[in-house]
Amino acid sequence: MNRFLSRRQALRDSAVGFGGMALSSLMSWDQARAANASVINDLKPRQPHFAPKAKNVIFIYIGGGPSTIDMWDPKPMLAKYDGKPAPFEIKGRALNGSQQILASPWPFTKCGESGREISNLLPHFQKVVDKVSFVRSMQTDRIDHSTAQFTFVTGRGFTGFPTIGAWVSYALGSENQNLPAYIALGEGASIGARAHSSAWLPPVFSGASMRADAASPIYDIKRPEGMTADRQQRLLDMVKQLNREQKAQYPLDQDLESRISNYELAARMQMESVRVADITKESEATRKLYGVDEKSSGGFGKLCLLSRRLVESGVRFVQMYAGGGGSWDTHSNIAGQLPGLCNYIDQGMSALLTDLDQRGMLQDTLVVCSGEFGRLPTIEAANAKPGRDHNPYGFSLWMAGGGVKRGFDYGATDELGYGALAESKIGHSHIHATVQHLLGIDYKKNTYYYEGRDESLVGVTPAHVVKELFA
Amino acid sequence: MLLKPLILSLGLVVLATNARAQRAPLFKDEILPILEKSCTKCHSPQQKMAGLDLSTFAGLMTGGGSGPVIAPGKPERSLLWKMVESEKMPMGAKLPALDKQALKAYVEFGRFPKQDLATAELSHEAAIITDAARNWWSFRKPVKPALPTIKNATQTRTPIDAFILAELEKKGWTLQPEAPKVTLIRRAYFDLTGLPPTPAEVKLFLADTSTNAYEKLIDHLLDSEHYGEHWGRHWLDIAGYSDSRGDAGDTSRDTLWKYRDYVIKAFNTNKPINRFLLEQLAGDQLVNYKPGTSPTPGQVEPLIATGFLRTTADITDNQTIYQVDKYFDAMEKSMETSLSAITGLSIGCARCHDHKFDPILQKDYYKLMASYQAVYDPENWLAANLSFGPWPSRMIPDLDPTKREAWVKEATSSGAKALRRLDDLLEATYQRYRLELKVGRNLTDDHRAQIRKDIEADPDLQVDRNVPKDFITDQELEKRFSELTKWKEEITQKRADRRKKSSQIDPNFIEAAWDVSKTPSPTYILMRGNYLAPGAEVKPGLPVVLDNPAKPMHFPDPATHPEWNHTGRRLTLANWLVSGDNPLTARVFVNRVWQFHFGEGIVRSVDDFGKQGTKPTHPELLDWLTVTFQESGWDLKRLTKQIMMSRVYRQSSSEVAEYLKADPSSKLLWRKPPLRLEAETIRDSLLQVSGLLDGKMFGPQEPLKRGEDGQWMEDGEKGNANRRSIYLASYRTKPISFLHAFDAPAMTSDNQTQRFRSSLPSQSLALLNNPLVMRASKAFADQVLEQSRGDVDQALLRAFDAAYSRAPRHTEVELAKQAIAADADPNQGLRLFLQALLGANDFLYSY
Repeated sequence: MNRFLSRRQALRDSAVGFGGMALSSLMSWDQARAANASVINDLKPRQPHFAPKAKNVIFIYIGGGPSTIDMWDPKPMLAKYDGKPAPFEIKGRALNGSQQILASPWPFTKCGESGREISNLLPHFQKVVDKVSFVRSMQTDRIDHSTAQFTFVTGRGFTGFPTIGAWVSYALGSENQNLPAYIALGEGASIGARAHSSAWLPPVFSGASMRADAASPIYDIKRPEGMTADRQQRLLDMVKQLNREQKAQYPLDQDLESRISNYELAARMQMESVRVADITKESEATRKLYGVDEKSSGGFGKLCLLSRRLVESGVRFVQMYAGGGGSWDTHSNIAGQLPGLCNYIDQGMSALLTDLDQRGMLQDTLVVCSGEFGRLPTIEAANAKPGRDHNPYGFSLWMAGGGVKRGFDYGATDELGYGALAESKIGHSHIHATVQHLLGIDYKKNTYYYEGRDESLVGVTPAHVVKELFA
Repeated sequence: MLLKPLILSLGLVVLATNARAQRAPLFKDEILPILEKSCTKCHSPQQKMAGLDLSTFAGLMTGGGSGPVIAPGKPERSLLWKMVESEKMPMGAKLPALDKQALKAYVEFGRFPKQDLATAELSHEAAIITDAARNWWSFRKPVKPALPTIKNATQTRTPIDAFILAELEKKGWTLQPEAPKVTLIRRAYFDLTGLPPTPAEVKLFLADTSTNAYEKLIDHLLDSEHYGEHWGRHWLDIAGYSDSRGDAGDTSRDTLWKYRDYVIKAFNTNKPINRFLLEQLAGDQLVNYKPGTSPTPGQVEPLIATGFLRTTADITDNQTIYQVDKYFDAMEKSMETSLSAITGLSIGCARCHDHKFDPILQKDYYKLMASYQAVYDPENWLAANLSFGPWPSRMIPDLDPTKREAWVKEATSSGAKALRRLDDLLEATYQRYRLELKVGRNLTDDHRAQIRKDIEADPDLQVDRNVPKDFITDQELEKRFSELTKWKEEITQKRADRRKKSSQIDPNFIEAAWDVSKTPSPTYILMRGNYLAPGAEVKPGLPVVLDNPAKPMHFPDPATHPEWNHTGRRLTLANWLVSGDNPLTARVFVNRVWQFHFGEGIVRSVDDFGKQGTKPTHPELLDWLTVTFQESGWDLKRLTKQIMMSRVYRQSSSEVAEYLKADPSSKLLWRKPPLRLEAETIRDSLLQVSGLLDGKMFGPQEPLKRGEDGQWMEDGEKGNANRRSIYLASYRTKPISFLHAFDAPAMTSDNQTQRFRSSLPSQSLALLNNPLVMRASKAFADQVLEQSRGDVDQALLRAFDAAYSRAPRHTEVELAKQAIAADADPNQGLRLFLQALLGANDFLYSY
């Protein structure tokens, strides 16, 4: 562990000092970084490296391995081989390997002006598909959930690295000082809080868990029983007075000063988060659009609506977990499970795109939707009701808004959706570089000194910005 | 065993066989011309692309940015051959087949004269391990310096003061006056016990006017049981302690708390630090523990100490595939964290290439790794817990003989091992059925019974689970031969039972580190740190820069020590680490101790004593303390007292505008910097002040639950919510929200040797609304009211005494009375005021 370094010391010893540093909105981000690698420890907005195309990100995290060949990556050839051995070797996991192809049990429909085919499992998404670009040639080098999910959000197949949301908040700070810069919504990933952790980046950049519950949206936001608004105000006043009196002995201490103002900030956070989380304030039409009252999918609809409200309020990075509808890890009975899973996310995520677009927010807001890997075109042999095993060799994701083309396809997998074609193959680190680039961050410069080296999200993984996606 | 099939299956080269008869090719005559024709345009001494120079034998053997490019005798491990074979090199051209053959033959059985090889390696080493590198300040043995002479002798109490004053006087500065007694006692309590003093303790100290009152206080606190709880916590940060493993499900390390208790006891009994480190790195070898046996009473503690090597994240699990990379991950984490904890060197960079800033070779990394090879042997992997594989696992049963025998019998006969065998039997049966059907045989009942019998009788059963099943699927087989389904169900049932059983870990188990065998698999230099690209084999050793060039450290061959039950490698390494020859260990430790008192170390980058780290602010003081510490027999309590008796430590924390402007972080220690308390100290103080604290020590971790708003917190129903924080369960994925808000680490990956002392609104929210604060302020109010029989003035006196160790000021009494008057419920009014008291800076800082 190594956080407190020479450059930090240099800064603290400079005439500006700790407190002065916080005013980095006056400084360019580069200046702040040049002055010090590790002292950035606040959410003040920081200048990007270059003009950004996107300001905020909504990251839809489908943990468990969504079967993208049954959702938005049609593979008509599967029908030809259905039930037969694959025409070339499918290397799955050793455990339950099989060569027997399973055609998608659901029809696909040609949609929109772009004419792309989307599974009938996603009727709402079919209507908004012109807004999104697909990356159809994803690949990852990890095949089991935990390591692949670590790779998905941290770029490394091991526990303990900062997630993309933490890196983005670290680079850019936040537009709203009364809310966390990085918010995690919904039931978490199987890797737990590590899916939105800041790891060794300062804790201020870790994702705060939030719920679509206006009474108690964030930890310690809700006033406890008996603590009326009136009492809380008196409490705040008393703490302030005690602190002020004590401060007289340390008139120059910035840390004590910031602790005094933090109480005021906390009170504002309380109001602000309750306000944002209160989706009852939305119009009937909007609520209907997201289907927040739908029995089977309203939970996710609420999160989607909340995510829009959050970016609208200046939150930099919202990570939304799509795990509330069951397990996406469809090793068996995919025919029985996938419809419900798709139904859970379909209306909400589609409404989010429509709503953001209608409000003119889609141009500033980048929406990314992906899992850690996809699923194989073959059946998993060990189960009576067929399912599909993990496929890290080829899968697809979609991105929309924030400077990404509309209706564009990048890359492809082979005719069976098994492996990404060599010429277009990209990995999660490419997406990490690309997302940062869209936000105006030079992904090679967004570094933090840790354990003897300047670490970054992409690190030494070979990756580049996928400029073909840019509008 | 494990690696070979994996590498082969990935399509790497299988050795050519009939070429053995050939004559050994010579570098200069046969190979150099090929290289000169096709390679040295880019890989020349001038160009040196990828750091590689192929124009000389030395260059070839030294390799480039990704390490050596040739492993003599092993083309499949030689980057040079792999690049040529895959036609990635030469770039844009193709090597003629004959040249290719010649190159391969050369790698395979060319002449690599030992002498030339050694010369090549030495020249590479010499380029990096220069005299200047060896003379880097932290690589030189500390020498006790003479005390500096100072002008202002009245300000010195101890030698420490002289070193600090010498620097201050250069600027014409002085120390601050001694802090008032009440500040001193609070400071000392927080520093040594992590708790505030009780009013009675303060009263006693203030009344003691003897000249050595302060010294008596320090002695008293060093004897306190709470001392080990507080300083144990510091060490657990350094060790990266967590009660969970960090794997996919973040499974619990059920009995690692024994290691936590070991640490607390070690500090309380003032175990010499060299012994403390030795036990943690090699306790098993120290007592010659024999794997699979019941530990003798004398072996229990050193075995528990090796929990130090089990604290880091380990994401291996019970899946049969894709584990090897995780084995290496676990071994690397354990090694990097334990070594950086002790030596203050971050060697992680050298996993993939020679360290860019410090004189640590890639080879050094793997020489060190060889000492860990027998604990985390990828080819003889020890399952991380009982449900992940057969016993023996890392869990050593420390049970009475009868119980133990029964347990071992269960674990080994009807246990996981047998189960795995059953699994294999079933899989093999499927395969045989398939084969028989494919060749057109009729599978009668008798025939099938015979197959089953044959397979059961086959002790060398080989099962390939990856055979294609498209000829006839498992499902179809099961449909036709119902016995398969029946067997399968039986096994599934047994497996479930087994899981249930093995998930109940007897508290008498010890999660320890020990050598799985005396002959671990070889350690290879891994090109770019990739386990699939093993290069040359290395033997255990020390980093060259720290080794004695005249007499390199000898790691004895365990074969020559038949009495050993282990490789002896870690013990050799550990003995060197704590020996007088080691320039780092004691320095790094002393520096950490200094940091826990003053907020920053004398070397501020406490884990980096290399080029990228900071230089010591007071190098002579560091050396003086280090040598004194070694001379005292690594006596931590003595060192601690030495620091706390100093005038530097005892000075006040008040500001001096002029000094502060020039030295805002008090680097020169012209004052004692005020420090925000650590998360655990804040929580424990809340409990103590309010009378809720339960001082019970040791034992299994206290359970957690989710609070109403989803946050992780103490579970008062299933456990005890009022114990000190060190006893609460610490899971990597369930950070206790209150502690986390105040920068307690979740140990997501390795360790955290320096806490952030952040100031964030989430901390204010916790102090406003967290259930712990509400609970504590209520109990606090009830307690002071009861003690003062409802007299408000008395109650306030007691409250200030407990929380701040002082009487309230006039203004503060007024504030309290207003609060009581303003509330419809005066009790609530008082509680509210006390909550303010506990949320104000006077409570959160040590001054």
